[in-house]
Amino acid sequence: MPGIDLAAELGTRGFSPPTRDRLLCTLQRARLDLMAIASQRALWEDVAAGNAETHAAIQCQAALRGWVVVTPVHPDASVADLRRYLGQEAFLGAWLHPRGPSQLASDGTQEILTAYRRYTRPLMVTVPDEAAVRDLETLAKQMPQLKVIAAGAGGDAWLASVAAAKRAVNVMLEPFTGGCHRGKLEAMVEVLGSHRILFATGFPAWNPGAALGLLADAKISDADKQAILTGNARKMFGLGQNSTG
Amino acid sequence: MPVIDCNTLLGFWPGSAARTLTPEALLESMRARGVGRSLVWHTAAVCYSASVGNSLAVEAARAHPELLPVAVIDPRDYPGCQAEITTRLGEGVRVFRFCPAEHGYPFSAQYAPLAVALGALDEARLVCVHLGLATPLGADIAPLLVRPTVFTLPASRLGEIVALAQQSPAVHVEVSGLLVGGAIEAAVQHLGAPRVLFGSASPLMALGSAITAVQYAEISDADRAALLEGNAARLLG
Repeated sequence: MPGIDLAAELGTRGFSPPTRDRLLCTLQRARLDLMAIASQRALWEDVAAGNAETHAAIQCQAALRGWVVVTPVHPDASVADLRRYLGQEAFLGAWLHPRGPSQLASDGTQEILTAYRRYTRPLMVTVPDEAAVRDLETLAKQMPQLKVIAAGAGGDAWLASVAAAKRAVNVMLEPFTGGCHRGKLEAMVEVLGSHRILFATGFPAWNPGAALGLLADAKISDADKQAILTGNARKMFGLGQNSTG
Repeated sequence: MPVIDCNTLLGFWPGSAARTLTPEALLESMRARGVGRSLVWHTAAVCYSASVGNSLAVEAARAHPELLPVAVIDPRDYPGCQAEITTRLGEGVRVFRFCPAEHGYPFSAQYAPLAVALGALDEARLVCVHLGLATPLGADIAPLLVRPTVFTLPASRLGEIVALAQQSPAVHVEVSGLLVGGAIEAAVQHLGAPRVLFGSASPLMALGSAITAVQYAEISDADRAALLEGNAARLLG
């Protein structure tokens, strides 16, 4: 089944260091046809150097797309990289990645969001826990025109993310990188509909089989599974059927 | 040979969609994924009373022959935990589980009740340990691991277990905490395939996630078969 992996990392950290070649191999092994990547270096250390790595890795690779990592820790560098990269089709949008608690509610986040208003791309936000879910809901309601993807969907607090997404209709959930909790996809589809759910492997923080197995086990229709795996991302990012090749 | 799952649970888990983890839900997942036998413990034994929870696990296993009961031992309850071991051995239970992550004690020989409890498990087939993120793991525990011991641990602690495994041939791991890219491969590489077992934390977690992760792991088919089936069968007898 074709699929679009919306969150994988490029870099050197992990049991299986995710170099570009490793990512392409993983994509093929998981039988997915497109992977959106962000640099580990940008996520955890140097935004500018890391985003440059992503830019280099996705050049001439039809199966790869990029995220521009932005972080409230370095708002100036983040805003500069939005200007530098978001004119390029190979970048799907920005990935707002707080590096600690409460950063989604910080002035740095506000600075980045103000700059992001001019772009019409979805914003992916790392949402690892219940506090981040609350901050995300506030952020999403503050910018109702912006489509926001909750990466991780709150982790163990995924029920809170479902409630938040019900209240803030511009929030999409990516629950796969938040754990393999049995029954959560079914609950999300029931409350929100499958059109609000996106797929990601989270490689290398996760084995791709974890996300694929969670989706396969879910008691939802094949049409819903296909929408989650591929259709919703294609629609959201305007990716055509031939976008990978 | 059917898959053997070394880490499944029944009971109640707060915050989960599957709040009530029933034998029926577990058996349904097992059938869907070709799992023939599961070692099962009860959440009440961890969160409330070892005695109460262990009785529930034994009861479930009596009703469903695909399930093998696991008795949770809480060394903080010494000497009551010794009586619990005796009772469960008398009932035929042969797998015991320690939960230092939840019960808050170090997995070390320096914790006297643990040392005594481990010493009482000569008749056990298997000892399981949930190590968690922060439980102190002492190298001094190695001589006390006289029965095959299966650790459930996050991938970030795999190195500690590899080091302990050099001190004790009893050390094994199960994969429910190793669903990180490359972690199953690393466990097989550094511990050897015979010391890596299958576990899923089903039905709290999706059984398919653990199974598919093993299927995607870049290990040989022989190692995969040993991990899913043969290793646990050998240890359980």
